[in-house]
Amino acid sequence: MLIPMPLDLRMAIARAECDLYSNLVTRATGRAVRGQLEAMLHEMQGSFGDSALICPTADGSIGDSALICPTADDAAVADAPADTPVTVTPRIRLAVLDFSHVGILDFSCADEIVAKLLLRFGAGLPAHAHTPQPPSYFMFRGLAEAHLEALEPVLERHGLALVAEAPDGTMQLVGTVDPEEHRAWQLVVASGGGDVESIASFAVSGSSDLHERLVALARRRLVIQTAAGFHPLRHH
Amino acid sequence: MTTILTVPPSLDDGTFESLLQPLAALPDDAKLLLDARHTRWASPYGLVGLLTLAQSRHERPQFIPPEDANTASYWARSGFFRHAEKLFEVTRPVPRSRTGDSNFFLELTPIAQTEDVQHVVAHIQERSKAIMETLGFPPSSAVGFSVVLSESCQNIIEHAGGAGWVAVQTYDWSWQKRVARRVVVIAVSDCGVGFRQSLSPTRGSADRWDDAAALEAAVLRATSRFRDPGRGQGLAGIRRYLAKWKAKLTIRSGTARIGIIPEWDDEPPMLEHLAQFPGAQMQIIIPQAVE
Repeated sequence: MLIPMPLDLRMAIARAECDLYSNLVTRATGRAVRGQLEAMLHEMQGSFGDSALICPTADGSIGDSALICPTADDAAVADAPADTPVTVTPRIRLAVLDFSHVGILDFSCADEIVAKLLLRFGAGLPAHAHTPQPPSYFMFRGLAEAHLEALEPVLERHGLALVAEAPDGTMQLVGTVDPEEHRAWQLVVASGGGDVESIASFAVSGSSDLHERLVALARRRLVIQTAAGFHPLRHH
Repeated sequence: MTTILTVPPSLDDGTFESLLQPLAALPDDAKLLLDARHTRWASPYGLVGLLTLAQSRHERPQFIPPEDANTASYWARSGFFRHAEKLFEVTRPVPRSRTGDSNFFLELTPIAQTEDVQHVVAHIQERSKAIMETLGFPPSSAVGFSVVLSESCQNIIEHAGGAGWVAVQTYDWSWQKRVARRVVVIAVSDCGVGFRQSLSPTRGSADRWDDAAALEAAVLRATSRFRDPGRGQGLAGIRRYLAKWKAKLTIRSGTARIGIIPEWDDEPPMLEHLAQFPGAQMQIIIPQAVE
Protein backbone atom coordinates (compact mmCIF):
# COMPACT_ATOMS: atom_id res chain seq x y z
CA MET A 1 0.00 0.00 0.00
CA LEU A 2 1.24 3.44 -0.88
CA ILE A 3 1.45 5.50 2.27
CA PRO A 4 1.67 9.23 1.75
CA MET A 5 3.45 11.24 4.36
CA PRO A 6 1.76 14.34 5.64
CA LEU A 7 3.91 17.38 5.11
CA ASP A 8 2.66 19.49 7.97
CA LEU A 9 1.85 22.87 6.50
CA ARG A 10 0.91 24.22 9.91
CA MET A 11 4.29 23.25 11.30
CA ALA A 12 6.02 24.85 8.31
CA ILE A 13 4.06 28.06 8.90
CA ALA A 14 4.97 27.99 12.59
CA ARG A 15 8.63 27.31 11.84
CA ALA A 16 8.63 30.18 9.37
CA GLU A 17 7.27 32.31 12.24
CA CYS A 18 4.25 33.27 10.13
CA ASP A 19 1.67 31.61 12.39
CA LEU A 20 0.21 34.75 13.88
CA TYR A 21 -2.58 34.46 11.32
CA SER A 22 -4.06 31.53 9.44
CA ASN A 23 -3.62 33.29 6.10
CA LEU A 24 -0.95 32.61 3.53
CA VAL A 25 -0.38 36.05 2.04
CA THR A 26 2.67 37.90 0.70
CA ARG A 27 5.58 36.55 -1.27
CA ALA A 28 7.97 36.76 1.65
CA THR A 29 5.66 34.56 3.72
CA GLY A 30 5.33 32.08 0.87
CA ARG A 31 9.07 31.92 0.42
CA ALA A 32 9.64 31.34 4.13
CA VAL A 33 6.99 28.63 4.36
CA ARG A 34 8.30 26.83 1.26
CA GLY A 35 11.79 26.95 2.73
CA GLN A 36 10.48 25.17 5.82
CA LEU A 37 8.57 22.61 3.75
CA GLU A 38 11.72 21.81 1.79
CA ALA A 39 13.71 21.49 4.99
CA MET A 40 11.06 19.16 6.39
CA LEU A 41 11.21 17.05 3.26
CA HIS A 42 14.97 16.80 3.58
CA GLU A 43 14.67 15.92 7.26
CA MET A 44 12.29 13.14 6.33
CA GLN A 45 14.85 11.90 3.86
CA GLY A 46 17.52 12.02 6.50
CA SER A 47 17.11 10.93 10.07
CA PHE A 48 13.64 9.93 11.15
CA GLY A 49 11.93 10.46 7.90
CA ASP A 50 13.27 7.41 6.14
CA SER A 51 10.48 5.47 7.67
CA ALA A 52 8.08 7.46 5.59
CA LEU A 53 9.80 7.01 2.28
CA ILE A 54 7.97 4.71 0.00
CA CYS A 55 9.88 1.90 -1.59
CA PRO A 56 8.59 -0.02 -4.53
CA THR A 57 8.99 -3.77 -4.10
CA ALA A 58 11.46 -5.88 -6.00
CA ASP A 59 9.16 -6.07 -9.00
CA GLY A 60 8.89 -2.32 -8.97
CA SER A 61 5.21 -2.18 -8.09
CA ILE A 62 3.82 0.09 -5.44
CA GLY A 63 0.41 -1.48 -5.18
CA ASP A 64 -0.69 -3.54 -2.21
CA SER A 65 2.75 -5.04 -1.92
CA ALA A 66 4.63 -1.78 -1.78
CA LEU A 67 6.63 -1.20 1.34
CA ILE A 68 7.68 1.59 3.53
CA CYS A 69 11.44 1.35 3.78
CA PRO A 70 12.71 0.47 7.23
CA THR A 71 15.75 2.66 6.54
CA ALA A 72 17.42 4.51 3.76
CA ASP A 73 20.77 3.15 4.72
CA ASP A 74 21.87 0.77 1.98
CA ALA A 75 23.98 -1.18 4.44
CA ALA A 76 20.99 -1.70 6.66
CA VAL A 77 19.01 -2.93 3.69
CA ALA A 78 21.83 -5.33 2.86
CA ASP A 79 21.82 -6.58 6.45
CA ALA A 80 18.09 -7.15 6.45
CA PRO A 81 16.73 -10.69 6.81
CA ALA A 82 16.64 -12.67 3.61
CA ASP A 83 12.85 -12.54 3.35
CA THR A 84 12.83 -8.73 3.38
CA PRO A 85 12.13 -7.49 -0.12
CA VAL A 86 15.00 -5.46 -1.51
CA THR A 87 14.34 -2.28 -3.34
CA VAL A 88 15.69 -2.21 -6.84
CA THR A 89 14.21 1.02 -8.08
CA PRO A 90 14.58 4.47 -6.59
CA ARG A 91 12.43 5.19 -3.58
CA ILE A 92 9.42 7.35 -4.17
CA ARG A 93 8.34 10.15 -1.94
CA LEU A 94 4.69 11.15 -1.78
CA ALA A 95 3.93 14.14 0.39
CA VAL A 96 0.48 15.40 1.31
CA LEU A 97 -0.11 19.07 1.96
CA ASP A 98 -3.30 19.87 3.80
CA PHE A 99 -4.70 23.37 3.26
CA SER A 100 -7.88 22.86 5.26
CA HIS A 101 -6.81 25.26 8.02
CA VAL A 102 -5.57 27.95 5.62
CA GLY A 103 -7.87 30.96 5.45
CA ILE A 104 -6.68 33.16 2.61
CA LEU A 105 -4.20 32.10 -0.03
CA ASP A 106 -3.09 34.90 -2.31
CA PHE A 107 -1.40 34.62 -5.72
CA SER A 108 2.04 35.28 -4.31
CA CYS A 109 1.82 32.46 -1.78
CA ALA A 110 0.19 30.14 -4.31
CA ASP A 111 3.19 30.75 -6.54
CA GLU A 112 5.86 30.53 -3.86
CA ILE A 113 4.49 27.58 -1.93
CA VAL A 114 2.69 25.39 -4.45
CA ALA A 115 4.09 26.19 -7.91
CA LYS A 116 7.69 26.56 -6.82
CA LEU A 117 7.54 23.45 -4.63
CA LEU A 118 6.28 21.44 -7.61
CA LEU A 119 8.91 22.96 -9.89
CA ARG A 120 11.79 22.41 -7.49
CA PHE A 121 10.92 18.77 -7.11
CA GLY A 122 10.81 18.10 -10.81
CA ALA A 123 7.29 18.74 -12.07
CA GLY A 124 7.28 20.46 -15.42
CA LEU A 125 10.79 19.44 -16.38
CA PRO A 126 11.26 18.68 -20.07
CA ALA A 127 11.68 15.09 -21.22
CA HIS A 128 15.16 13.64 -20.60
CA ALA A 129 15.99 16.34 -18.07
CA HIS A 130 17.69 15.18 -14.90
CA THR A 131 15.03 14.89 -12.20
CA PRO A 132 15.69 15.38 -8.50
CA GLN A 133 16.04 12.15 -6.52
CA PRO A 134 14.23 10.54 -4.91
CA PRO A 135 11.26 11.26 -7.18
CA SER A 136 8.84 13.36 -5.16
CA TYR A 137 5.12 13.57 -5.65
CA PHE A 138 2.69 15.91 -3.95
CA MET A 139 -0.98 15.51 -3.21
CA PHE A 140 -3.06 18.40 -1.96
CA ARG A 141 -5.95 18.24 0.49
CA GLY A 142 -8.37 20.75 1.90
CA LEU A 143 -8.29 23.07 -1.10
CA ALA A 144 -11.39 25.25 -0.95
CA GLU A 145 -12.90 27.05 -3.92
CA ALA A 146 -11.27 30.27 -2.75
CA HIS A 147 -7.84 28.61 -2.68
CA LEU A 148 -8.37 27.31 -6.19
CA GLU A 149 -9.17 30.80 -7.43
CA ALA A 150 -5.61 31.78 -6.57
CA LEU A 151 -4.00 28.45 -7.45
CA GLU A 152 -5.42 27.78 -10.89
CA PRO A 153 -4.07 30.88 -12.66
CA VAL A 154 -0.70 30.39 -10.97
CA LEU A 155 -0.47 26.78 -12.14
CA GLU A 156 -1.60 27.77 -15.62
CA ARG A 157 1.05 30.45 -15.80
CA HIS A 158 3.72 27.79 -15.18
CA GLY A 159 1.99 25.10 -17.25
CA LEU A 160 1.70 22.98 -14.08
CA ALA A 161 -1.02 20.78 -12.66
CA LEU A 162 -1.52 19.06 -9.33
CA VAL A 163 -3.56 16.26 -7.84
CA ALA A 164 -6.12 17.42 -5.28
CA GLU A 165 -8.01 15.08 -3.00
CA ALA A 166 -11.59 16.02 -2.14
CA PRO A 167 -13.06 15.38 1.33
CA ASP A 168 -14.83 12.28 -0.03
CA GLY A 169 -11.50 10.86 -1.16
CA THR A 170 -12.02 11.41 -4.86
CA MET A 171 -9.15 12.98 -6.72
CA GLN A 172 -9.11 15.70 -9.32
CA LEU A 173 -6.56 17.48 -11.42
CA VAL A 174 -6.12 21.22 -11.00
CA GLY A 175 -4.20 23.40 -13.41
CA THR A 176 -3.10 22.94 -17.00
CA VAL A 177 -4.09 19.55 -18.36
CA ASP A 178 -5.11 18.85 -21.93
CA PRO A 179 -8.15 16.60 -22.53
CA GLU A 180 -6.08 13.60 -23.67
CA GLU A 181 -3.84 13.82 -20.62
CA HIS A 182 -6.91 14.10 -18.45
CA ARG A 183 -8.46 10.97 -20.00
CA ALA A 184 -5.23 9.04 -19.49
CA TRP A 185 -5.06 10.18 -15.86
CA GLN A 186 -8.66 9.09 -15.30
CA LEU A 187 -7.81 5.64 -16.68
CA VAL A 188 -4.94 5.32 -14.20
CA VAL A 189 -7.24 6.29 -11.35
CA ALA A 190 -10.05 3.99 -12.52
CA SER A 191 -7.70 1.03 -13.00
CA GLY A 192 -5.83 1.59 -9.76
CA GLY A 193 -2.62 1.48 -11.76
CA GLY A 194 -0.61 -1.19 -13.47
CA ASP A 195 1.06 -1.73 -16.80
CA VAL A 196 -0.09 0.12 -19.89
CA GLU A 197 -2.16 -2.80 -21.19
CA SER A 198 -4.12 -3.19 -17.99
CA ILE A 199 -4.71 0.55 -17.78
CA ALA A 200 -5.79 0.63 -21.44
CA SER A 201 -8.33 -2.11 -20.75
CA PHE A 202 -10.34 0.42 -18.75
CA ALA A 203 -10.78 2.66 -21.79
CA VAL A 204 -14.21 2.63 -23.40
CA SER A 205 -12.73 3.37 -26.80
CA GLY A 206 -9.23 2.95 -28.20
CA SER A 207 -6.56 4.97 -26.51
CA SER A 208 -3.67 5.52 -28.86
CA ASP A 209 -0.42 6.96 -27.54
CA LEU A 210 -1.43 5.98 -24.01
CA HIS A 211 2.12 5.09 -23.01
CA GLU A 212 3.46 8.47 -24.11
CA ARG A 213 0.69 10.24 -22.26
CA LEU A 214 1.33 8.24 -19.10
CA VAL A 215 5.04 9.01 -19.29
CA ALA A 216 4.17 12.68 -19.69
CA LEU A 217 1.83 12.51 -16.68
CA ALA A 218 4.56 10.87 -14.62
CA ARG A 219 7.01 13.56 -15.67
CA ARG A 220 4.47 16.10 -14.49
CA ARG A 221 4.24 14.18 -11.19
CA LEU A 222 0.53 13.48 -11.70
CA VAL A 223 0.95 9.70 -11.70
CA ILE A 224 3.73 7.58 -10.24
CA GLN A 225 5.87 5.61 -12.65
CA THR A 226 7.67 2.47 -11.54
CA ALA A 227 9.14 -0.52 -13.33
CA ALA A 228 5.71 -2.16 -12.95
CA GLY A 229 3.80 0.62 -14.65
CA PHE A 230 1.88 3.71 -13.71
CA HIS A 231 0.03 4.35 -10.47
CA PRO A 232 -2.32 6.98 -9.08
CA LEU A 233 -1.32 9.15 -6.14
CA ARG A 234 -3.98 7.41 -4.12
CA HIS A 235 -4.35 6.83 -0.45
CA HIS A 236 -6.85 4.21 0.62
CA MET B 1 8.68 81.91 0.11
CA THR B 2 5.93 79.47 0.94
CA THR B 3 3.64 78.19 -1.79
CA ILE B 4 0.04 77.76 -0.71
CA LEU B 5 -1.93 74.88 -2.19
CA THR B 6 -5.66 74.96 -1.57
CA VAL B 7 -7.13 71.53 -0.96
CA PRO B 8 -10.39 71.29 -2.95
CA PRO B 9 -13.72 71.25 -1.07
CA SER B 10 -14.26 67.70 -2.26
CA LEU B 11 -11.02 65.74 -2.47
CA ASP B 12 -11.02 62.61 -4.58
CA ASP B 13 -8.86 61.08 -7.30
CA GLY B 14 -10.03 63.67 -9.83
CA THR B 15 -9.65 66.81 -7.73
CA PHE B 16 -6.38 65.61 -6.22
CA GLU B 17 -4.86 66.40 -9.62
CA SER B 18 -5.52 70.09 -9.01
CA LEU B 19 -3.03 69.94 -6.12
CA LEU B 20 -0.41 68.24 -8.23
CA GLN B 21 -0.42 70.73 -11.12
CA PRO B 22 1.23 73.59 -9.20
CA LEU B 23 3.29 71.15 -7.15
CA ALA B 24 4.99 69.72 -10.22
CA ALA B 25 6.46 73.11 -11.02
CA LEU B 26 8.08 73.49 -7.59
CA PRO B 27 11.49 72.23 -6.50
CA ASP B 28 11.33 69.36 -3.98
CA ASP B 29 12.60 71.55 -1.16
CA ALA B 30 10.18 74.43 -1.73
CA LYS B 31 8.20 75.44 1.33
CA LEU B 32 4.62 74.33 1.08
CA LEU B 33 1.39 75.02 2.92
CA LEU B 34 -1.66 72.89 2.25
CA ASP B 35 -4.83 74.73 3.14
CA ALA B 36 -7.72 72.34 3.78
CA ARG B 37 -9.85 74.79 5.74
CA HIS B 38 -12.71 74.62 3.26
CA THR B 39 -12.48 70.95 2.48
CA ARG B 40 -15.69 69.16 3.44
CA TRP B 41 -15.18 65.70 2.05
CA ALA B 42 -12.28 63.44 1.12
CA SER B 43 -12.21 59.98 -0.39
CA PRO B 44 -9.70 57.36 0.79
CA TYR B 45 -7.70 58.20 -2.34
CA GLY B 46 -7.65 61.88 -1.36
CA LEU B 47 -6.48 61.14 2.18
CA VAL B 48 -3.74 58.67 1.28
CA GLY B 49 -2.78 61.08 -1.50
CA LEU B 50 -2.23 63.91 0.99
CA LEU B 51 0.00 61.72 3.15
CA THR B 52 1.96 60.62 0.09
CA LEU B 53 2.34 64.22 -1.02
CA ALA B 54 3.85 65.11 2.35
CA GLN B 55 6.16 62.08 2.22
CA SER B 56 7.43 63.17 -1.17
CA ARG B 57 8.67 66.54 0.09
CA HIS B 58 12.14 67.24 1.43
CA GLU B 59 10.72 69.72 3.94
CA ARG B 60 7.68 68.99 6.03
CA PRO B 61 4.81 70.98 4.54
CA GLN B 62 2.47 72.95 6.75
CA PHE B 63 -1.11 71.83 6.91
CA ILE B 64 -4.25 73.73 7.89
CA PRO B 65 -6.94 71.19 8.80
CA PRO B 66 -10.61 71.46 7.78
CA GLU B 67 -12.62 74.04 9.71
CA ASP B 68 -15.80 72.03 9.58
CA ALA B 69 -16.03 70.05 12.82
CA ASN B 70 -17.69 67.03 11.24
CA THR B 71 -15.08 66.86 8.52
CA ALA B 72 -12.22 67.19 11.00
CA SER B 73 -13.78 64.54 13.22
CA TYR B 74 -14.18 62.18 10.27
CA TRP B 75 -10.57 62.71 9.19
CA ALA B 76 -9.48 62.03 12.77
CA ARG B 77 -11.46 58.80 12.86
CA SER B 78 -9.94 57.78 9.52
CA GLY B 79 -6.54 57.95 11.22
CA PHE B 80 -5.45 60.80 8.98
CA PHE B 81 -4.27 63.25 11.64
CA ARG B 82 -2.44 60.55 13.59
CA HIS B 83 -0.17 60.01 10.58
CA ALA B 84 -0.32 63.59 9.26
CA GLU B 85 1.21 64.94 12.45
CA LYS B 86 4.39 63.04 11.63
CA LEU B 87 4.53 64.24 8.04
CA PHE B 88 3.09 67.78 8.17
CA GLU B 89 3.38 70.69 10.53
CA VAL B 90 -0.28 70.81 11.47
CA THR B 91 -1.03 74.42 12.25
CA ARG B 92 -4.11 73.98 14.44
CA PRO B 93 -5.26 71.53 17.09
CA VAL B 94 -7.10 68.58 15.59
CA PRO B 95 -9.56 66.09 17.10
CA ARG B 96 -7.94 63.06 18.72
CA SER B 97 -8.72 59.50 17.87
CA ARG B 98 -7.27 56.18 18.88
CA THR B 99 -6.42 53.28 16.61
CA GLY B 100 -9.57 51.26 16.05
CA ASP B 101 -11.81 54.18 17.07
CA SER B 102 -13.14 54.44 13.56
CA ASN B 103 -16.09 53.63 11.38
CA PHE B 104 -13.68 53.41 8.48
CA PHE B 105 -13.75 50.00 6.87
CA LEU B 106 -9.97 50.08 7.02
CA GLU B 107 -8.56 53.29 8.39
CA LEU B 108 -5.42 54.81 6.91
CA THR B 109 -2.73 52.22 7.52
CA PRO B 110 0.98 52.43 6.75
CA ILE B 111 2.43 49.59 4.67
CA ALA B 112 6.16 49.19 4.98
CA GLN B 113 6.77 45.48 5.43
CA THR B 114 5.26 42.03 4.96
CA GLU B 115 3.84 41.97 8.48
CA ASP B 116 1.79 45.10 7.72
CA VAL B 117 0.08 43.31 4.83
CA GLN B 118 -0.62 40.26 6.97
CA HIS B 119 -2.06 42.48 9.66
CA VAL B 120 -4.28 44.36 7.20
CA VAL B 121 -5.62 41.13 5.69
CA ALA B 122 -6.31 39.61 9.10
CA HIS B 123 -7.92 42.82 10.33
CA ILE B 124 -10.27 43.12 7.38
CA GLN B 125 -11.15 39.44 7.06
CA GLU B 126 -14.31 39.38 9.17
CA ARG B 127 -15.52 42.79 8.03
CA SER B 128 -15.05 41.92 4.38
CA LYS B 129 -17.54 39.04 4.65
CA ALA B 130 -20.18 41.42 5.86
CA ILE B 131 -19.48 44.09 3.30
CA MET B 132 -19.32 41.77 0.31
CA GLU B 133 -22.66 40.30 1.37
CA THR B 134 -24.04 43.83 1.68
CA LEU B 135 -22.87 44.42 -1.87
CA GLY B 136 -24.78 41.35 -2.98
CA PHE B 137 -21.82 39.01 -3.48
CA PRO B 138 -21.63 35.52 -1.98
CA PRO B 139 -19.75 35.23 1.34
CA SER B 140 -16.96 33.33 -0.43
CA SER B 141 -16.11 36.51 -2.36
CA ALA B 142 -14.73 37.94 0.89
CA VAL B 143 -11.63 35.81 0.34
CA GLY B 144 -11.21 37.37 -3.10
CA PHE B 145 -11.56 40.81 -1.54
CA SER B 146 -8.78 40.00 0.92
CA VAL B 147 -6.58 38.66 -1.88
CA VAL B 148 -7.12 41.86 -3.89
CA LEU B 149 -6.18 43.92 -0.84
CA SER B 150 -3.14 41.76 -0.13
CA GLU B 151 -1.81 41.94 -3.67
CA SER B 152 -2.48 45.69 -3.89
CA CYS B 153 -0.51 46.34 -0.72
CA GLN B 154 2.30 44.02 -1.77
CA ASN B 155 2.98 46.22 -4.78
CA ILE B 156 4.25 48.78 -2.32
CA ILE B 157 6.66 46.37 -0.66
CA GLU B 158 7.79 44.70 -3.87
CA HIS B 159 8.10 47.70 -6.16
CA ALA B 160 7.85 51.05 -4.41
CA GLY B 161 11.14 51.02 -2.60
CA GLY B 162 9.52 52.78 0.35
CA ALA B 163 6.53 52.86 2.64
CA GLY B 164 3.00 53.53 1.48
CA TRP B 165 -0.57 53.74 2.64
CA VAL B 166 -3.82 51.85 2.28
CA ALA B 167 -7.39 52.77 3.24
CA VAL B 168 -10.78 51.24 2.52
CA GLN B 169 -14.20 52.80 2.96
CA THR B 170 -17.75 52.08 1.90
CA TYR B 171 -20.19 54.63 0.57
CA ASP B 172 -23.78 54.83 -0.48
CA TRP B 173 -23.50 56.34 -3.93
CA SER B 174 -27.19 55.96 -4.73
CA TRP B 175 -27.27 59.72 -5.48
CA GLN B 176 -24.60 59.36 -8.14
CA LYS B 177 -25.59 59.17 -11.76
CA ARG B 178 -22.77 56.94 -12.96
CA VAL B 179 -23.11 54.04 -10.56
CA ALA B 180 -26.01 54.84 -8.20
CA ARG B 181 -25.24 52.00 -5.80
CA ARG B 182 -23.36 51.22 -2.64
CA VAL B 183 -19.62 50.90 -3.29
CA VAL B 184 -16.42 49.88 -1.56
CA VAL B 185 -13.37 52.00 -2.34
CA ILE B 186 -9.81 50.77 -1.84
CA ALA B 187 -7.01 53.31 -2.12
CA VAL B 188 -3.31 52.40 -2.05
CA SER B 189 -0.55 54.94 -2.51
CA ASP B 190 3.20 55.22 -2.20
CA CYS B 191 5.85 57.74 -3.18
CA GLY B 192 8.40 55.19 -4.35
CA VAL B 193 10.09 54.71 -7.69
CA GLY B 194 6.93 54.20 -9.73
CA PHE B 195 6.20 51.67 -12.48
CA ARG B 196 8.47 53.18 -15.14
CA GLN B 197 11.61 52.87 -13.07
CA SER B 198 10.60 49.58 -11.49
CA LEU B 199 10.04 47.93 -14.87
CA SER B 200 12.78 49.69 -16.82
CA PRO B 201 15.10 46.62 -16.82
CA THR B 202 12.43 44.72 -18.80
CA ARG B 203 12.11 47.14 -21.69
CA GLY B 204 13.57 46.55 -25.10
CA SER B 205 15.92 49.23 -26.38
CA ALA B 206 13.64 50.06 -29.31
CA ASP B 207 10.46 50.26 -27.25
CA ARG B 208 8.68 53.45 -26.41
CA TRP B 209 9.26 53.79 -22.70
CA ASP B 210 7.38 56.23 -20.54
CA ASP B 211 4.93 56.07 -17.65
CA ALA B 212 2.02 55.04 -19.88
CA ALA B 213 4.04 52.26 -21.52
CA ALA B 214 5.17 50.98 -18.12
CA LEU B 215 1.60 50.95 -16.80
CA GLU B 216 0.39 49.11 -19.90
CA ALA B 217 3.16 46.54 -19.49
CA ALA B 218 2.34 45.92 -15.83
CA VAL B 219 -1.44 46.06 -15.92
CA LEU B 220 -2.29 44.72 -19.38
CA ARG B 221 0.58 42.30 -19.96
CA ALA B 222 1.49 41.29 -16.38
CA THR B 223 5.12 42.23 -17.01
CA SER B 224 7.37 41.93 -14.01
CA ARG B 225 10.88 43.25 -13.43
CA PHE B 226 11.81 39.76 -12.24
CA ARG B 227 12.77 37.04 -14.70
CA ASP B 228 10.79 34.52 -12.68
CA PRO B 229 7.67 33.64 -14.73
CA GLY B 230 5.76 33.32 -11.47
CA ARG B 231 6.05 37.05 -10.88
CA GLY B 232 3.67 39.70 -12.17
CA GLN B 233 0.60 37.68 -11.29
CA GLY B 234 -0.68 40.02 -8.60
CA LEU B 235 -2.13 42.68 -10.88
CA ALA B 236 -3.42 40.03 -13.31
CA GLY B 237 -5.15 38.32 -10.41
CA ILE B 238 -6.60 41.60 -9.17
CA ARG B 239 -8.00 42.24 -12.65
CA ARG B 240 -9.67 38.82 -12.73
CA TYR B 241 -11.52 39.48 -9.48
CA LEU B 242 -12.46 43.01 -10.50
CA ALA B 243 -13.84 41.81 -13.83
CA LYS B 244 -16.05 39.37 -11.93
CA TRP B 245 -17.32 42.15 -9.69
CA LYS B 246 -17.61 44.73 -12.51
CA ALA B 247 -15.28 46.93 -10.48
CA LYS B 248 -13.13 49.81 -11.62
CA LEU B 249 -9.35 49.94 -11.30
CA THR B 250 -7.16 52.97 -11.88
CA ILE B 251 -3.43 53.21 -11.32
CA ARG B 252 -1.56 56.47 -11.56
CA SER B 253 2.20 56.52 -11.80
CA GLY B 254 4.47 59.37 -12.80
CA THR B 255 2.57 61.34 -15.43
CA ALA B 256 0.06 58.70 -16.56
CA ARG B 257 -2.98 56.91 -15.28
CA ILE B 258 -4.33 53.64 -16.62
CA GLY B 259 -7.88 52.48 -16.01
CA ILE B 260 -9.70 49.20 -16.33
CA ILE B 261 -13.06 50.80 -16.81
CA PRO B 262 -16.32 48.88 -16.37
CA GLU B 263 -19.52 49.59 -18.29
CA TRP B 264 -20.94 51.86 -15.61
CA ASP B 265 -18.15 54.40 -16.01
CA ASP B 266 -17.00 56.38 -19.02
CA GLU B 267 -13.53 57.54 -18.04
CA PRO B 268 -10.79 57.08 -20.64
CA PRO B 269 -8.62 53.98 -20.15
CA MET B 270 -5.43 56.02 -20.29
CA LEU B 271 -4.58 59.56 -19.26
CA GLU B 272 -1.18 60.95 -20.14
CA HIS B 273 0.71 64.18 -19.56
CA LEU B 274 -0.56 64.53 -16.01
CA ALA B 275 1.48 66.45 -13.48
CA GLN B 276 4.50 64.45 -12.33
CA PHE B 277 3.94 62.73 -8.97
CA PRO B 278 6.20 60.06 -7.49
CA GLY B 279 5.32 56.45 -6.80
CA ALA B 280 2.02 54.81 -7.67
CA GLN B 281 -1.56 55.50 -6.62
CA MET B 282 -4.15 52.79 -7.05
CA GLN B 283 -7.89 53.03 -6.61
CA ILE B 284 -10.41 50.21 -6.80
CA ILE B 285 -14.16 50.83 -6.74
CA ILE B 286 -16.35 47.77 -6.24
CA PRO B 287 -20.03 48.55 -6.78
CA GLN B 288 -22.99 46.66 -5.39
CA ALA B 289 -23.91 43.73 -7.61
CA VAL B 290 -26.89 44.27 -9.89
CA GLU B 291 -29.44 41.46 -9.81
